[in-house]
Amino acid sequence: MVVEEFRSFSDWLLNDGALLTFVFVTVICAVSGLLLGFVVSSFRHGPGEAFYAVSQTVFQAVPDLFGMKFRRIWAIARLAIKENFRLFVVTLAIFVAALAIAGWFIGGGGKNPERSYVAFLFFAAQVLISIFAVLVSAFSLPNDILSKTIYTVVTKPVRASEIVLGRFVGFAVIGTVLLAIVGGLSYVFMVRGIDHTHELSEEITVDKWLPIVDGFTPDGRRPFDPRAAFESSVFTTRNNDHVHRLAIIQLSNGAFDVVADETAGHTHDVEVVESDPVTQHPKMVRFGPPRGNLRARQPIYSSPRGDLAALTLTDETGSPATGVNVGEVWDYHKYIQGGTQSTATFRFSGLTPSKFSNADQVNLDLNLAVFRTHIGDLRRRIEAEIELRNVVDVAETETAQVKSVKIPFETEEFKVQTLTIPRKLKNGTIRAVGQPDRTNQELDFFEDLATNGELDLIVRCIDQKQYVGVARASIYFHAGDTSFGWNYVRGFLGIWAQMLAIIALSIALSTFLKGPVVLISSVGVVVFGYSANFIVFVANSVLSTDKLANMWGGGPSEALYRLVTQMNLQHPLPPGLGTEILKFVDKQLLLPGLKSLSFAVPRFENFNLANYLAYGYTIDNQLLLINLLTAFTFAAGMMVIGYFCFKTREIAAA
Amino acid sequence: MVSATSAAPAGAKLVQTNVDYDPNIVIETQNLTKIYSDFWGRSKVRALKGLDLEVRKGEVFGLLGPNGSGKSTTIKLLLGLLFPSGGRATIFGKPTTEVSKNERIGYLPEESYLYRFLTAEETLDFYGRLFDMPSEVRRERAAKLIEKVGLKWARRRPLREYSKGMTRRIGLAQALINDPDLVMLDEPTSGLDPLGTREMKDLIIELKEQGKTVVMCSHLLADVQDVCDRIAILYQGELKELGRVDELLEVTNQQQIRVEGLTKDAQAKIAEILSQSGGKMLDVSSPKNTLENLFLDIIRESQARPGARGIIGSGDDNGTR
Repeated sequence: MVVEEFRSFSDWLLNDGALLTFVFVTVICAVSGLLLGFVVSSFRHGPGEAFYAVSQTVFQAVPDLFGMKFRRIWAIARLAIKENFRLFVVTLAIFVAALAIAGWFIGGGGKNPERSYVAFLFFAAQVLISIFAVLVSAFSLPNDILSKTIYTVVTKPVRASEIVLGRFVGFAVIGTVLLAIVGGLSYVFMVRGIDHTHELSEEITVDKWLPIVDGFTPDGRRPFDPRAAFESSVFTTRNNDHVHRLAIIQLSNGAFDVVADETAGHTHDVEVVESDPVTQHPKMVRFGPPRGNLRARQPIYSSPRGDLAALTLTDETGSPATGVNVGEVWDYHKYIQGGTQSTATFRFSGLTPSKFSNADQVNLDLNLAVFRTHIGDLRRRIEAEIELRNVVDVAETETAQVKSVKIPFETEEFKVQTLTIPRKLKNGTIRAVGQPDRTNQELDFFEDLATNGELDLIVRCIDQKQYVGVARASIYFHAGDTSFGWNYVRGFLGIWAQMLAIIALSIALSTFLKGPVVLISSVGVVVFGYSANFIVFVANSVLSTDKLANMWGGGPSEALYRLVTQMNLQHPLPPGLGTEILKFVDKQLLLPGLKSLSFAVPRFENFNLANYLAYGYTIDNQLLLINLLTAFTFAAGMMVIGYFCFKTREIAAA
Repeated sequence: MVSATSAAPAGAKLVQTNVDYDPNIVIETQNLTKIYSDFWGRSKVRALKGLDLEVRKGEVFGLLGPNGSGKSTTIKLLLGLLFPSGGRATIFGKPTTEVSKNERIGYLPEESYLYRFLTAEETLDFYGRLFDMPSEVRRERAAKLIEKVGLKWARRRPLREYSKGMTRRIGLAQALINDPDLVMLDEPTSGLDPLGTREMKDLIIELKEQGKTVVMCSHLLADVQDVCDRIAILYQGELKELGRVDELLEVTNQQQIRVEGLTKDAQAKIAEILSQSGGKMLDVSSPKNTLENLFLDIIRESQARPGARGIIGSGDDNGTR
């Protein structure tokens, strides 16, 4: 899975400017609100009265905040729930119908069926919940004002804050219940869809077990499991559009263990039912449920250490470098050259035995890219090696440099490859200052290498003139798996956070706009929020003074002009006043304005955590916290805006 | 505060505080003005022009006037549903925008603007919660009020199934859920049949007997005449008359003599005496009952004695009507 951002909550809040942005946006909104109120009130009552009216409204917010009563808020929340119960049922029915129809198209087949399931289910849930959230919250208050039922509410001792908050609570509760049911249904749908087993297509007689000689099968293939002694020429029955091959692994005690290959992102536990009485080769086996496609890996990625980056590269001479450009447009992977001194160093911290359940081995997952400059040996993959080193404190001159033996491996592209590193590593080297190197040392992974949890991991490509591509997320220590079900709940928490933000937004807009206008405006803001990352990218690119960084096509108005006139992106605009006006509008008005506005809305794209589930990674607590805090802060801001708009609205003048 | 009203007339200031609160004065307005304006703040309608009023504790006060005279605007201003363009209004000594004043107010709008998906019980429970009432109190009040307005049989039906009269009754119940000191009724008899109208008027009198203040606005003169102690007559947003009903209705330059069993001769003699005193007999006739009373008598009689009843002029009439 592509991971480009590794932000901790504190980094996001303090270093990435989230807190500063919040303060800035809050101040701007507060000042703009006060000014707007003063101007409108001045226009109608004169400056003296306007000052009085504005300050009174601001000061009344204090008792309206602290004088709120739970019973009143809950009364309005209950009303909001009852009001929308019918829509709740309809939405649920639509989702169930969508599941029923989707069942015809999404089978358990394909390379990674769980990805199709997760992608569809999260998309369906996100769209449906977002529509539900907008519909319930956009029309409720405007309809109350239109039908004048609000008269009998605001003439009771109910504060504007209670009306706004009560509605938010009500919609949030009914939305949460809907989301919980949708989540539960979709989980069952996915698990049932993926669940399957197999049988042997025919009995495996002894001659169907093909021996592995010198690491290859008789037909010249590599066995799917390098430990295999025999591989079966008989496949399983085809279920969910795939079959599995079996292999026999001879254990040290002489017994046989039968394993199924990993197809469609999973394997099966295999139990031997009947064996050949003479050779002990399995004849009949029984398959368990699928294993390995609904995972939630807990990765420990490399992280910056002091001034050092989480991942640094050296070139073929061993000098610091940024990696070789192999001509890919996407520069996610940085390439190191094989057969040279070019290396990639990953810096890890937090590697403690407890994170690995004090196991005797540590799993290292690799997801490397490969770039070949020649075909090489077709039967072999590109070879690379890793080396583990402890972190030497420069100030502590007595600390010895401890290095593991170089661990070679063959790279496997387009899949997560696991290297199992035993806790006790042989043939290590200890180099202490002023002493001869001690070689062939047995090293303890945690005590000698990952001392204080810190470790450097060096990757080299062995094959000459071949390249291995690395990114920060390409290599990580795999600290076990968490529950996929719990991870699924975390994924839905992202949708929940988005739902809260949309509800709050629509309620705030509904305090001063009519229902259909609220609907359109809310959808507009959400689309803008979804596009915010792209808008910032375009703005930065077009506004950059670096000519090379400027993207083709210019800003929105230039793009519109090119679209209408069917002008090629790379064709320069005709010189003249029109072009100057277009560029002025883009560079001085539209892009700076859109970029500034993008900081006032959540990046809705970031609420989608489906990729983590689809690719089998635990959704990080820090990421979840960032999403939840973003949604809550935005919702709180919208509530404040909604309160002031409703408070200053003449209900009966509508 | 951003008001949707346009600029106040010259001299009218937007004042929201009351320094001299007299507990005997429940509502007080001074130069209360409301001008409806368009989106751009341009004046459209001057709905209320400098209204000065005082409503005293324990009285039934009627706001009278034809459609568009400013009655409902006054009520809405007093309830804080509208913001004044100028002048001052207080209820229980508090500004009309102050939420806490609503603790002691019951309001029945012109039409019963209620949530139609709720039942009568749920409706009263909801409004009871808005007064922060504990559940026992809510249940007790709701049951009592549902019985009082005669909807016990339909208390679990959603309001969407109610007739207009039934909705009006549950609307009244919601206005009384907090046992208010001030009841504001906007066209209280609107949509009610004659029986319902009488019950409403009886209720208003009952509220007065309980020491509550009632402010009602109506253009039905008979209703106002029957129950109000004092009235204010508005016309095109201006106060035209204000005073006690009995004093206002008294025709001071005319006298009415009602006698029984007078012969034609005696009538002629009386006319002669009046003529000698400089007066002129306009009319001598039997006093008339109102249509409302006639209808109610018939209904009550029908309820007491089901079946066919005698018709006027059929020979069964005893001449008591």
